[in-house]
Amino acid sequence: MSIHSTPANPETLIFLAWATRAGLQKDMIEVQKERRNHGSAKPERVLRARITYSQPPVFEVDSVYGPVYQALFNYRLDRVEFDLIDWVLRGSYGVYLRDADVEECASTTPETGLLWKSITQNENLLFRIKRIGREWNGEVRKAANALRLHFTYQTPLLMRTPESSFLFQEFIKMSLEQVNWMELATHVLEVPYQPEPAFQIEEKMDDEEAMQIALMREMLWRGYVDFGEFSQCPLFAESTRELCLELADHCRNMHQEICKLEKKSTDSSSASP
Amino acid sequence: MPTYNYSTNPETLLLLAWCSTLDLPALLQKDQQARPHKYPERADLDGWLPAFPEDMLSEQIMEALSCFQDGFYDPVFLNLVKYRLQFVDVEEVAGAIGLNDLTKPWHGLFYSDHTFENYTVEKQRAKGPANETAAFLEAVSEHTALQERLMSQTSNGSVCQSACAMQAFFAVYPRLRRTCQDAPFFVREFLFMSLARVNWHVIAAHLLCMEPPPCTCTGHHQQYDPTVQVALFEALLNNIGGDLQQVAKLLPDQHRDTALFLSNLCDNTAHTCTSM
Repeated sequence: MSIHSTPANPETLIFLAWATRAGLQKDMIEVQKERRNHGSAKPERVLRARITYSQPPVFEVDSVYGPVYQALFNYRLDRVEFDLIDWVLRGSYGVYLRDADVEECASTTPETGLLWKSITQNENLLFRIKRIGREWNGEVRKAANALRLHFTYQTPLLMRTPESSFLFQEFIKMSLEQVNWMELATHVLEVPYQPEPAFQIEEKMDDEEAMQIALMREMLWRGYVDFGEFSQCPLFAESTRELCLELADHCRNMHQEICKLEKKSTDSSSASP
Repeated sequence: MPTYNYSTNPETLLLLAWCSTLDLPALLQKDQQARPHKYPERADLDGWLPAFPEDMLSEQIMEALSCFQDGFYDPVFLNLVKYRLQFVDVEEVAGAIGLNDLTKPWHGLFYSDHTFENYTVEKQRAKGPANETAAFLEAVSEHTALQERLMSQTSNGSVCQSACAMQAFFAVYPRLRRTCQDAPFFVREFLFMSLARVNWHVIAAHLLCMEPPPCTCTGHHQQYDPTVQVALFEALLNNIGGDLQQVAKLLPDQHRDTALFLSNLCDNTAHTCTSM
């Protein structure tokens, strides 16, 4: 039985849960043996390598949004207490949950500052985000809600594949939940920030329409990819493959049409006085 | 700081990790308002704090399982997740939660692949199915339509082929369903853990009303078995068609027609597959 117990933050516990599922206890025992013999192996390096290289490249496929989500993910990963993971996996320490840490920062939350910095580092992304801001004619709360929906639904689709771990989704979700969308909206709209009450449920539902359109756009893209793959499956009869191809084409065309409609409505709202 | 530490399993650690994503202070406040008798004023004992209420965690867990309500295979999925929950002593999880000035953690937890099963877990396991295969069969036996659907996936009376086909199907199908994708991560992980341990030969033999014969499997999933591919494709079409129909209800006219058109196309294609 272990002797010591210590508090652990949510990031550490989520990483620990993933590490037990990934069977990393054996890896940590090996690292410990190496350290006794050579003294060079480090648990943090091994654990970081496991999460980086054992998973599909979820961030690299999208050059615009990928770096944003990677920054949000890495922020949470940097809060993991890797030594503690090592000790708990090897049974040297017990852990219990403690409250999440609250950090002091120039922005109201570190995640807000991180997100804004990531946006400003990509001209293409900054242009798109500014466009969202213009859609709401300076209304900070509406722009904030639109930004919240935008980044929630742009979360990389690859994180929902069988090969991708729950760690990615959970860490990014945690980071997005900490973003002060009001403050982000004031950066986008270039107006002074004044603290406001958090979104009410009714406000979040006001943009149900925008959310549903974003959802449909995502679904259409997924449909295009999935049906496209099935259309190449040699085991299906030709008639089935043709049906799949037709569905894939329809999904792609609809996706393009929706993007055009959205662009048109954005351009017309930004052109109006 | 707690003085005791208990070895525990991946299931318990997953649940504790999931608890860290909940608004625990709000849940505690709710319990304090609903059951004030559990929180006597203990001003005479410096530093006394209650443990996190186990009931609140159990409620949250039951709510998380409500994602398995509408899908055809949901009875099986629910049973498989509940089977994994048998390995978790929720009071043990609650005792490992320490909120500043609100609750006191009673113990720490560490991972072991040879955990000691306490009395609560022993009792839970004694009441429930013996293993994952039994949990699967229990759900199938209670739902005739499900049994018939699974029997339609059995291949030519061969236990091994049917087992491989079902294994390949269930390896992919849960990831196609949006309710599974959106379920709390511990629910998804419990489901995949259980599915990985089901003895598909026993399931196949049961459906074919045979004794499990000596296994002739090559050890590879029959991922590209036409029956499996068609079943997965049909599932994908039904899921996407259903999702598009739900989304269409809230869309403006132009987008709604688009969504409904695609939804109907998916339904028609699914019917075509079934009739082939």
